[in-house]
Formats: sequence, C-alpha cells, structure tokens
Amino acid sequence: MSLDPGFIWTAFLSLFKALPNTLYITIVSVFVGFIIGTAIALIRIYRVPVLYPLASAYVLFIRGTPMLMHLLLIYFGLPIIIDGLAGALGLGFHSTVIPLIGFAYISFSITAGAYMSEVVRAGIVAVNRGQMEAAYSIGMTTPQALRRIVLPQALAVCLPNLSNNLIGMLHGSTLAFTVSVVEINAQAQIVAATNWKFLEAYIAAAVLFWGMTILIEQATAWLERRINKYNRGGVA
Amino acid sequence: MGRKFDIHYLLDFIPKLLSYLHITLFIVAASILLGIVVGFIIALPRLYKVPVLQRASQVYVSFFRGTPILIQLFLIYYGLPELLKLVHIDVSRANVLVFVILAYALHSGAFISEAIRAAVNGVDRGQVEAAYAIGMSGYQAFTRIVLPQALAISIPILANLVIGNLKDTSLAFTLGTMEMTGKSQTLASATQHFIETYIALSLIYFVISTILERTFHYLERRLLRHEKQVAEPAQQYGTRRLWKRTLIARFEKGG
Repeated sequence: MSLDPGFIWTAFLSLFKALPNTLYITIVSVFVGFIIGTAIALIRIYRVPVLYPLASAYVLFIRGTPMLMHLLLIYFGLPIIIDGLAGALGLGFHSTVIPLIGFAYISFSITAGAYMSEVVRAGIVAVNRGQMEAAYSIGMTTPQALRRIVLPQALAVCLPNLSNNLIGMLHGSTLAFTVSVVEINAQAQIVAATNWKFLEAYIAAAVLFWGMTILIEQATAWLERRINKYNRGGVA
Repeated sequence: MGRKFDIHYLLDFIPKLLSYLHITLFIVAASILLGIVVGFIIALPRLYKVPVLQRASQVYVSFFRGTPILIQLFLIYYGLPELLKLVHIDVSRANVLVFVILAYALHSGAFISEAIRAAVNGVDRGQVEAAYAIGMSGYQAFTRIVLPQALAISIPILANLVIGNLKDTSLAFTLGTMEMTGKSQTLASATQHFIETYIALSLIYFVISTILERTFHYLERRLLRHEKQVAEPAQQYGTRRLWKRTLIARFEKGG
C-alpha cells in the first residue's frame, strides 16, 4: 500500500457531500451556545439568586469533562428521560423520532454554551463601567445602554475568543461520528474503508478542515478590523 | 437502548474505570513532555527569526491548530508507517499507544510553541540587560532571570493545555487504545448499562481536571510570589501588560 495522490482528490470531492452536516452542527451549536452563554454570563454577572450556583455548576462541569462525554450522556440519557416523562404523562411521543443529528445539536449546544458563557462574560466585564454610567447620564434605559453601548464594545473584545470557539466547535463536530451522523470525519472513514485507502482519505479531510479554519481566521481578522474602527485614532 | 438506570452499576464502574486511569495519565504526561520538546523546536526559529525554518514552523502550527485532533490521530496512525517505510523502518507491530502519544505530542507541541513564544516575548528585555549589567553570563541570565519569569507567565496557558489534553485523550479509544474511555466502551456494551458508564466516566474526568486546575493555580501563585514585593516599581517602569493585569486583579480582590 503506497500513497495514491489521485485518490486524495477523489476523496476530497466525496467529502463535500458531508460538508453540510459538519456546517449545520457547527453553526447550530455555536448559535444556540451563544444564546445559552449570554444568559449564563448575565446570570453570573448579576449574581441572580437561585440560578447563580446552578449556572456556575453547569459551567464547571461542562468545562471539566470531555465533549465526547456530553455527546454520549445526551445520546444515551436523553431518551431515558424523554421516554420516562412521556410514559408518565401518557403522551404518544417516543424518543426514536429524534433524528441522530438532533443529539449532536443538543449536546454540542450545551458544550458550546459553557465555553461561550466565559467568552461573553469576559467581553462584558472588559467594557468600562463608565460607559454604562455615561449612557444613563444622557437618559438611556438599561436595555438601550446594553444594546447600543455595551454589547457592541463587548463584541469587539470577545471576537478573537468567539472565533477560537467557533473553530473549536468545527473541530469538535468530528465527534458526531460516534452517534452515526455522517459528517466529514465519518464520510472520510466510509471512503477510506470502502477503497482501503485510509491515509489519502484523512489527508483530504485534514486539508478540508484546515481550509475552513483558515477561512474562519481570515474572516475574523477582517471583522476585527471593521468592528474596531471606532478605536482608530483614539487616545487610549 | 440499554436497561433501566441502576445506581449500583455507577458505584461498580468507578473503580473499574479507575484501574485504567494510569494509562490516561500516562498519555497526558508523555504527550505534554514530548510536546514541550516539540514546542521548543518549533518556537525557536520564530523567536530567532531563522529565514526558511520560520515559515516552516508557521505552517506546522497552522496545520496542527487548524485540523481536528481526531483527524490528526488517524493521519499519524495511517501515515507514519508509510513515511517510515520510505526509510525502511517497519513499525507495523508497534503498540498503538506509541501513535496515540505521538499524535497528541505533535498536536500539543503546536500549542505549546505558541505559549513559549508568548512567555519569552512577555519577559521584559530590560531584565536580561539588568542581569548582564551585574555580570551574569548569558546562560545564567536565562536560567536565573528569564526562565522563572517566563514559566510563571506560561503556567495559566500550560494549565489549559494539560486539561485540554486530558479531555482529548478520550478520543484515543478510536484507535483501540485501552484507556479509560476505551474501557468504558467495553464495560458499556458488555453490561448494556451505557448511561451509568458514561456518568461514572464523566465524574472521573471532572475530578481529575478539577485537581489539575487547583494544582496549577497553586503553582501560579507560588511562581508569582516575587511580583507582590516589587509591585510598585514594576508598575513605575511599565513592565508587561499581562502581569500588570494580574496584579491589578489581585489588588481589586483586596489581596
């Protein structure tokens, strides 16, 4: 068995079939994770009574365990909970109707939420308190001040971390093969096994992921320049 | 989808999984130690701006940071024997663990090289000059002045890397390595008690990463001890921003 360069291209083309699944998983988990993360971050910043310890425990546990564990726990645990509840309430709902990719969405969103909460928290905390006070002094309400003054600045601060998280979730989506979702990694395994050309298939997968990562990095760099435009020529 | 949840299995599985803990920890320790060596080799061309090697190390870092660790595992598992065949070395009977450790070492090497770069650049140039001024040799200045400070700067980054590496080892089972996750797979399919197995495994990972985090936190505080005593002049002469930030954070906490 020696390297067959031509097959790398063949494998590369067949990996494109699985690209949508990888992108769906990444985008859904980052998007939902961002919403969960913002909620968790606000709970922790404002120290909301009952929710605060819960939110802290969630972040601590998720960050302390591998992403694979979250996926396996959701995959095997959620059906037990859903079917138990449905049985107790007499609903006709059964967990088998959930598509496999749904488990990936749920578990990776939970993973991303914990990491995102740290990103958002760092971003909000980094914005000077005086900004909020200045917004109040000209008569803005709290939601207005948050939306118009604090959040745009927080976004600029947390953009690099956000991009790292996005790349992390893109790479993490390769784990979805353990619950039989055909994303790029699973497709590479299929192509490799059917043609008995493992190295070529994984080279193709690596190149595809590398390309996507570089794209994300470039896009972030461009966005960072744009978002930070207001900083140009400042005194700080 | 498995049987009814039974807490007894949870208690039964924890010791069984813990008996494979040493393999997980061995992978982490070996790959981090090797990764530090790799990291230094990768970081040096960029620190000293060696023409061609600088570019090569950039590509290395970009590749290993730009592809999932799972893909890297497979690439090395299938690719390394091919590469070595070119120089007539047969590794087809080597232990899978060797490939796993190598993959994680090359992976963390890329991240460690970035940490080393940040840490060395983080130490003020004036520190070296001051060391020379009182008659230290280059080696003395490095080991006594630069290294301890760089180490303190890199501890938080290193801590994240080690904990990340610990969590990444859960993927080694894909190559058939019998570490904790690999063992959990066999336990789960043998007993059909999946959820108990994975809860047990998660708890173990959680406890270990918490212990690691605490240890590194303690180490960081110890290594930064000297900063407290020279806090005033350090700020006056405008040392690195990173340390300033940690100092400020400490003062705000009322330390």
